[in-house]
Amino acid sequence: MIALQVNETERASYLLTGPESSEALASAGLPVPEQVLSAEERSGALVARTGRDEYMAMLKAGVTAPQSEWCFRRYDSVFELKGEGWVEMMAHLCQYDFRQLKPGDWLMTSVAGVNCWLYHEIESGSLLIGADPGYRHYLNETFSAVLGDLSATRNPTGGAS
Amino acid sequence: MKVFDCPVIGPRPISEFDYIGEVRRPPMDADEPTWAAYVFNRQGAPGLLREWWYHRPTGRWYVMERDTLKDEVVRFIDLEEVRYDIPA
Repeated sequence: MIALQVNETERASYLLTGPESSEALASAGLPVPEQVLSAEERSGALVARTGRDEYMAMLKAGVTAPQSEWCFRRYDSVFELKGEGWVEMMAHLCQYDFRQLKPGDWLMTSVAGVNCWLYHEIESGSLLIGADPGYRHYLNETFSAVLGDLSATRNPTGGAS
Repeated sequence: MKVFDCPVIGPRPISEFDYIGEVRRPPMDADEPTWAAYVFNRQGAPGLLREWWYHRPTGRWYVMERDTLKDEVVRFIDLEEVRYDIPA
């Protein structure tokens, strides 16, 4: 069993919009999700469809970036929650019931009061959380505090036995 | 916590939504009293109301038909149903 960890992860983020966005993704060899508010991942690339003609792409280093006039670079802060118990941790941060979030599901909701996108990775089982980089410090602090509280509850020290 | 049962994205905390108000169609060619009534008056009686809701995390706009007496969302309205042309 892996202990619960929260790490920041490096992903180059892009927003694609306009009628040519799906072609731009396809020609870069990136997946093109069919359903709005769904996502697909493929070898280091995560692409979510956030509107009729709008996509978000989060790419690991080395993955070819899409090229299009209406492709804009984003600088999202991306956190990765991995290990046992992230559902319990998220219950402290968000009102959404994460027991119903299946691997491969994409979600956009409020986490600790911040608008975030979330993705439940299929292979690793980790939860990715992305947000505006202006909230990076706040989210880092909040995640660490909740993680600390949960660890303290699980491993009580001292007191009467 | 109050939950807003959105027919499109499912039940979500109402704190994620902004309530924008009743869906209304401006009386384009009307006289001044009609315009004044449109600008200053609202239907306050309980019943079925078409309303704009904005979901902040997804950045998406929804039109819902809501029973304001029971506080229940009845159905999701396609935006094509409420669109109108602005005279040039």
